[in-house]
Amino acid sequence: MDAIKQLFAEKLTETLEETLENMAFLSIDPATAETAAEYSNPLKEVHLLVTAPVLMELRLRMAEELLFQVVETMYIMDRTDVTEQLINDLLSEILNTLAGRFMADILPTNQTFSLGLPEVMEDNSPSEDNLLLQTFFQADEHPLSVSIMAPDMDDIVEYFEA
Amino acid sequence: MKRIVIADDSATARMMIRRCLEIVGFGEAEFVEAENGREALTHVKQSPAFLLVSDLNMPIMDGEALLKWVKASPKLVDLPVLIITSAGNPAKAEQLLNMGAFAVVNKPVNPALLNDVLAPLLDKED
Repeated sequence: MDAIKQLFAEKLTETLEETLENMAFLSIDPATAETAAEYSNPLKEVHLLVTAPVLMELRLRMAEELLFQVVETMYIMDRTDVTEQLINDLLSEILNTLAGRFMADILPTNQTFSLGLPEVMEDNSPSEDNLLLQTFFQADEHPLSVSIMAPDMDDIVEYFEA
Repeated sequence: MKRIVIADDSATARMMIRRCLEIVGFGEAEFVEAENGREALTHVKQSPAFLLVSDLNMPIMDGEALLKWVKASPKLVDLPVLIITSAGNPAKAEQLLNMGAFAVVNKPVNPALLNDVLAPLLDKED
């Protein structure tokens, strides 16, 4: 299981770096749970299910301020014109893209996979029981984290160790 | 004027795709945006389109179903359909190309990628 977690952490970091660089011209640095916990401004969270070939859930949590900054840059908009809907849409699209690249990286070349649609959720910290991996980063001094949940760890081990 | 229909349930993705298309040479095109495959199908049936760009994973009608409908229609069969997806891999891409997709590329898109993929269409007349 440790080898799988290490592989997932490496691939997740690579794909998050690529995704944020390509989509938002953002670079990220590693961070810790402690630095994330010290952040007192609002965070937004989005979830996305991987439904095949194994069942997993990816969660992305980002500082709302960071999302505002990205939307202002990408859409060339004033802060006052940026809606919550646009912020949620950006967050969802980042996770959607990240999840696709991550799954393509960890699966064999000819293995297809299925993703659900991203859902923005109220703050809902992952339960330790289902938590496979949680990684922390920061961008422009704002935190972001990605969690991978799995309802059945044995399925994950069986699939990826095969 | 070239008419390009972009189907993606994400407004952010539609905006990014449109920006990239403008940069690679479709700056003068008329862009029509759709939030799902059904809306996109309505748009391409209503008025001739030069290019249909579609996400794969969308509510109501996904990109694969949209591609099937387009390629099954005698009026639309020649419409190039570019699939842009986050859920792509070589096996899926091959399946979509066999179904008639013009090309399949992975998100996130950038102008260089679209320039390469759309090169055969860039000099094509309306």
